[in-house]
Amino acid sequence: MWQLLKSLASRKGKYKDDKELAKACASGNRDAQEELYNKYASKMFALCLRYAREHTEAEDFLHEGFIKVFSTIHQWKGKGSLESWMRRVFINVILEKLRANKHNVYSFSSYQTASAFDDEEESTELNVPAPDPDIISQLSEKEIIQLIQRLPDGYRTVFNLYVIEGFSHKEIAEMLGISEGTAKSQLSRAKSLLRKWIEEQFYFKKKVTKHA
Amino acid sequence: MRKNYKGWDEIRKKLENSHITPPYPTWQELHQAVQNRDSWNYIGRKVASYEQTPPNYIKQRIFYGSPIVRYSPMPVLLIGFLIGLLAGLLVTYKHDVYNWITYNTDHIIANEYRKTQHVENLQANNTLSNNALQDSEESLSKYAKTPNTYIQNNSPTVLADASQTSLNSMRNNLGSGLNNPVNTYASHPDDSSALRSIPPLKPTLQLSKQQNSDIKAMTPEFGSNKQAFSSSIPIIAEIHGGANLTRIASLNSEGFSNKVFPGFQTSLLIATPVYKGHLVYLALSKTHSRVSVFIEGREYYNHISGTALEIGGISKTGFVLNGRHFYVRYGLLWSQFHSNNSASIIKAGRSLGGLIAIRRFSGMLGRRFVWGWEGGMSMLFKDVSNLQGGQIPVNFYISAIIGFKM
Repeated sequence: MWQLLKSLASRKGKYKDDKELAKACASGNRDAQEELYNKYASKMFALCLRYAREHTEAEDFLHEGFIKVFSTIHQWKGKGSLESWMRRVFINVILEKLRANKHNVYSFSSYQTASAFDDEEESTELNVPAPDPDIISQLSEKEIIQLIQRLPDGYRTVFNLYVIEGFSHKEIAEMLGISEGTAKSQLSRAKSLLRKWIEEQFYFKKKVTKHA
Repeated sequence: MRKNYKGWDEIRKKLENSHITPPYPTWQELHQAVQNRDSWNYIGRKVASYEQTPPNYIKQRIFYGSPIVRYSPMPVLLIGFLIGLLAGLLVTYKHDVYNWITYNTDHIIANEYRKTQHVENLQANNTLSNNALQDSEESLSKYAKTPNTYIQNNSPTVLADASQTSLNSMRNNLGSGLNNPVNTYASHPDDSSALRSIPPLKPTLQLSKQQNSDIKAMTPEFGSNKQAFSSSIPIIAEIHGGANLTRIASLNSEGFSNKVFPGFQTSLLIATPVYKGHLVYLALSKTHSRVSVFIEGREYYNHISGTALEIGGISKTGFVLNGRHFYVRYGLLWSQFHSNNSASIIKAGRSLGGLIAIRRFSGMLGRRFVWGWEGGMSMLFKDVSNLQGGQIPVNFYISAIIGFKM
């Protein structure tokens, strides 16, 4: 009941659509900005969690992302959904942050060794068998995100951009300043690791449930 | 060699010009490919639709600045410093305090007991002297009646003069006898029968056997607590509260500003003497500091809190400066520090550290409480930052102390 009231209260907004809301935000209206935050914070936080190594880093991404959204929202002309535009802004902010800390975040040596994949085709990634959909359905979203967070920084970024955001290898390569082959190899390795961990997690969970 | 390659080149050219249909994938291959793609897409869809509500303080940080920014540490800082300053200003050298901190409280109690007994004895003697004066005056008036009878019968003028002189002399002697009644009465030249009737007075400071043994038991030799503590080991408990300034000792290119950051801290300390009055203590302290950091022109705030377990010693005598006694506390600490990580600057973790402090006790509150202040510095031995460059925090503090002897 409380949850329902809370959700109703949170949905109650002064602005009839995102265009009006964005316009108010662009004029510096704090109430509108707060409404925008209330509307999209949980979605954006989930996005940040996927790219971050840990919870606190995701909080920083969220903080930075919203600051960026508020300062650039006048650039959104109403083409496409506001949520998609915000996602793009958040991803750019996250990538900027990751690039700024690249000496910590990215392992360039792994990119260099991955250049061997430059001449290979898309089939590289297809060689990695996907986990069984039944297994995936048994795991919660949170568990999958936690497994994604365990991936090395480079793998995680490429995996998110390709599998979840739907960018092509060419776009990913441009965004990260790496070659397409590197992006492919990162994806391939990310998938291998993730598949292994998903199965481990599933069997572990099954074992625990059985004993319980 | 070239001839061999020429053959391959021809084959390649032929193949390039021909339209060779690749072998159609088997059903299993096709199924596997589709399943793979679907599974990864399934993960993608599942994760993309996930939502998680961020913690409330993120909203506060975005809209109202950091909660730590809104909460100004200045009042706490000022209060802490005022307490410390007051304690410092009110410092007066008190021997009792010295005794308290060296845990000779029993010595103080014995001294006070002696003082009380002395006053009681003096009062008792004064009462006796007054009684004696009254008695002697009554006797003298009787004595004075005798000459009158004699005068009536014999030579009244001479005897009356003589008796008056004698009376004055006795009054003078009795007056001085108030100061030292025993001696005065004992040595009085006019050994009349009336004066002999006055009962002998007790010596002023002569205590009973029981009182003497009580005092002896309670009064250890100064500086040696063996006797006093042989029966029970005292435990001292202290509460500390004050202000601190944290300085991050090292800088790096990321822009960690070279600043000191204000905060406050509280501690609970328990101490007990182990060797000739030297104390060993165990303390639990909690510190709070706010650190602001500039990175790429933007200021970030971190609220750092640390919980430290300290173990160490307190010097028995310390040192004297301008007639005032100071003691030294020294120890090792094990700290668990946390951060709200607004910019992932300060990482959470654990570290060993060291502490040295100077303390002074300013006064007693009754017989069991003492108050004073302490100023010192502590340092962690480990980098606390996510940034490179070694951020070693040094904490300077001043605290008010209230101590209690159990």
